[in-house]
Amino acid sequence: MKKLTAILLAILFSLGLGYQGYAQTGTEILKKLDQVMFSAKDLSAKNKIIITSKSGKQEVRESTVIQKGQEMRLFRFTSPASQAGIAMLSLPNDVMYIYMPAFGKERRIASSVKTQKFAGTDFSYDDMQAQPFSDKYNAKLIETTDKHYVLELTPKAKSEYSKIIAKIHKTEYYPISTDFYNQKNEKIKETAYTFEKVGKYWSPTEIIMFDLKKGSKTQIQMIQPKYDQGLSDDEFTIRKLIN
Amino acid sequence: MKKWFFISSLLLLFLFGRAQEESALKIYGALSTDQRVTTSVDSGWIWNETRLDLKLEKKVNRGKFYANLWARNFGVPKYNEMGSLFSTEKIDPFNIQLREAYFQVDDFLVENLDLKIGRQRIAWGTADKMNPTDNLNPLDMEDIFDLGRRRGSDAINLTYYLKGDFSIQGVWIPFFQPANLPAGVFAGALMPSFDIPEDSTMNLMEVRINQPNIHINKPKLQSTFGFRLKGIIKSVDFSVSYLYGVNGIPELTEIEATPSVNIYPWYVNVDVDVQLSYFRNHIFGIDFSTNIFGLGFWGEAAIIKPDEDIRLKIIENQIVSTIDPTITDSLILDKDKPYVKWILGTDYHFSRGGYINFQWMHGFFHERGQSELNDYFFLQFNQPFFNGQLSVTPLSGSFIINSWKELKDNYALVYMPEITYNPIPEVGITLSYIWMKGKGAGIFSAIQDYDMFVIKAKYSF
Repeated sequence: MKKLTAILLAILFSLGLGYQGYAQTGTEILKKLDQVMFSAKDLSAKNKIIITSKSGKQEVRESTVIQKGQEMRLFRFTSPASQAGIAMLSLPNDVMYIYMPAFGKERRIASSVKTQKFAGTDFSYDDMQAQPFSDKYNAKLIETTDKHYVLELTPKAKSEYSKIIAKIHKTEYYPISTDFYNQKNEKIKETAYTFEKVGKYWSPTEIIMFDLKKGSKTQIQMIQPKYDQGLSDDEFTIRKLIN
Repeated sequence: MKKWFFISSLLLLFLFGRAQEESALKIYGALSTDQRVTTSVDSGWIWNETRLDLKLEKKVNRGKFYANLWARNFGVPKYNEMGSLFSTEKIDPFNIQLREAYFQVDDFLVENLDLKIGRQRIAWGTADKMNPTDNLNPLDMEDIFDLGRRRGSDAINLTYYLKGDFSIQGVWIPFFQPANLPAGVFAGALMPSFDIPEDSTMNLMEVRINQPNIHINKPKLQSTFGFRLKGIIKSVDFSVSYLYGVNGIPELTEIEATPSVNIYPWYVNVDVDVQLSYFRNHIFGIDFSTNIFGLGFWGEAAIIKPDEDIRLKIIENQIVSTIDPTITDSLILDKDKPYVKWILGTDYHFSRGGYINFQWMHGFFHERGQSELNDYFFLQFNQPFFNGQLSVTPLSGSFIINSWKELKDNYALVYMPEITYNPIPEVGITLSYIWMKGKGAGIFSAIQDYDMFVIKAKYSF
C-alpha cells in the first residue's frame, strides 16, 4: 500500500510539473520577466535620453545609473548643465530621495510625485523606480502566440494606470512592448523595448516611451552597461547620493 | 588661529591628495542677471545684479575638491557727488566672493568617516529654505527675497556613517562670521526703531535726530561647534542636533541720546550712539520628514537658550548737562528662558505636473525671545506646461502675523506670482512681480513701499 501511494504521488507530482511548464499562469510569466529584468547582481551604465516633441524638436540629456538587486537604483543627470548633478535614489519599501545640488541636501520625495513626469521626460517617477513588476501588478495571461505572451497587469496599489498590456518574449521572457491605460481605460502611453544579450544577461539597450496624448516620445539608450561589478549596498545610500 | 587653520588644511590636502586617483577637473556654473524696478516710489531701478557663478569640481577615488566663486556686478551706479566719478567701485560696482572652497576625504583615518575641510555650506534641517535648525553658516540676507541663503563657513566637518541609516556629524568653525544684512533699499528691513519716551523733555520742541553712530562689540569667544545625529526610523527621516555658537545677527544693547539746542532755527539736535553686540546661544534642534498618503510632511524645531542675559540700556542725556541722565536698563533675553522656533510643512505633486508647497514658520531668522516670534505662512503652487518649457507660479507668497490679538494692525502680505520660460534647456527667463502690504512692525511691512517687477535670466553651462 505504501509503495502504491508513493508511485501515485510520483505520477501526480510529475504531471503537476509537466502541467505547470506547459501552461504558465500570468503571475509565473511576470515573475520570469522580473528575473530577466533584474537577473544581474548589479548594473552600472550611462544613459542617453532623447526627448522628441510632437513637432519633432529634440532635447538630449545624459545620465549615469547604477542598480543593485531588484530595488536599489541611483540615477544622476550629467547634462544639460541646468540639470547636471540632480540625482534620484530609489530604495526598498517605496522610498525615494532626490538630491538638488543647489540646496546641498537630500530630500525624501512625497509619493504623490510618482505619477509625475520624470525631469521632463515621458517616463513617470513610478516608471523610473526600481521595483519588480510582480510587486506592483497582478498579472493575467490574456493571449499566447507563437512568439509572445500577452499579459494584462492591474496595479496592486493606487496607480495612475488602470491596467498595462504587456507583450513578453515567449522564450527569453523580456518585455517587447507595454501599453498603459489610464483610469478611463484610454491608452495613454506605449513603450517599445530593444533587448540585446550582453554577456549572460539580456540588456535593455533602448526603451522608447510614447506619450499618445501629447504626441511626444522619450528614448533612453543604455550605453556601455556593465554587470556584476560587485557594487556594495553602500553605493545606494544618502552618503553617495549627496557626494 | 586662522593661520593654523589654513596650514592644517594645506597639510591634509597634501597628505591625502597625492595618493588618490584623479579625474578631470569639471568647470560648470551659470551666468545670470537679476533686474528689479519698483512701481511704488521714485526709486526706479533698485536692483542690478549680473552674476558669474563658477563651480570647480575634481573627484578623486576617495573624495573631491570643490569651489564656488561668484564674480558679480552688483548694485546700481552711484554718482551723486563728483568724487564718485573717479571711483570705478561706485559707478561700476563689482565684487568677487568665494562662496565655498573645500576638499573632502572619504574614509578618512577609518572606514565610513568623511572629512570635509575648508569653506563650506553645511545645511541642516528638512524644511524648504527656512530652517530654524540650520545655524552653522552665517545668514546672507543681502536679498531679502532669497530666504534662507547662507554663506559658506571656514570649517572642519567630520561625518561618521554608522551601520544602517544613521550618521553622526561633528563640525568646528574656528572664527565667527557675521551675517550680512539686507542690501540696497531693503537695508531698513531689519533696523530696530526707537521711540523717544513720552515723558522726555525732548518732546517739548522739534527734534532732529542725526544718523546714529553705530559701534559693534565683537563676540568674546569666536568659535562655533555643533553635533548632529541623523537617521531613519520606520520611514521617518529625522535628526537631532546641538550647536554652541554666536548668532550672526547682532543685538541692540545700548542707545545713548545726547540732545543739544540749536538756537536759530529753534530745534533740538540729537546725537545718537548705538551699541550692537553679538551673543552666543545653545541651540538644540530636531527635525523630521516623511510621507503620508502621498503628501510630504516635514518639521523642525530649535530650542534656543541664550548663553547670557541680554540687556538693553537706554541713556537719555539731558539738554542741561548738569542734570543727571535718565537711564533705563531692561532685560531683553533671559538666559534661563529658552525659546522655540519651529516650522511645519507639506507638499503635494498633482498628476498633471502641478506642485503645491505650504509652510508655517514660527520665528523668522532675526527674531529672538518667545514673545517676539511672529507667524509666517508660505504658500506656493507651480504648474509646468509644454514639457516644462514654461513654468507658471500663480500662487506664491506669504502671510505674516505679528499679533494674533490685533491682527488688522499687525500683519503683512507678500504676493509674488512668477512665470519662467526655458527656450532651451540651458536658459531660463523669469518674470515676476512682488507686491507687499502690511501694518505694524515687521520686515515686509518696513519695505512695503517697494513693490517691484523682477526680470531674471540664467544660462547654465
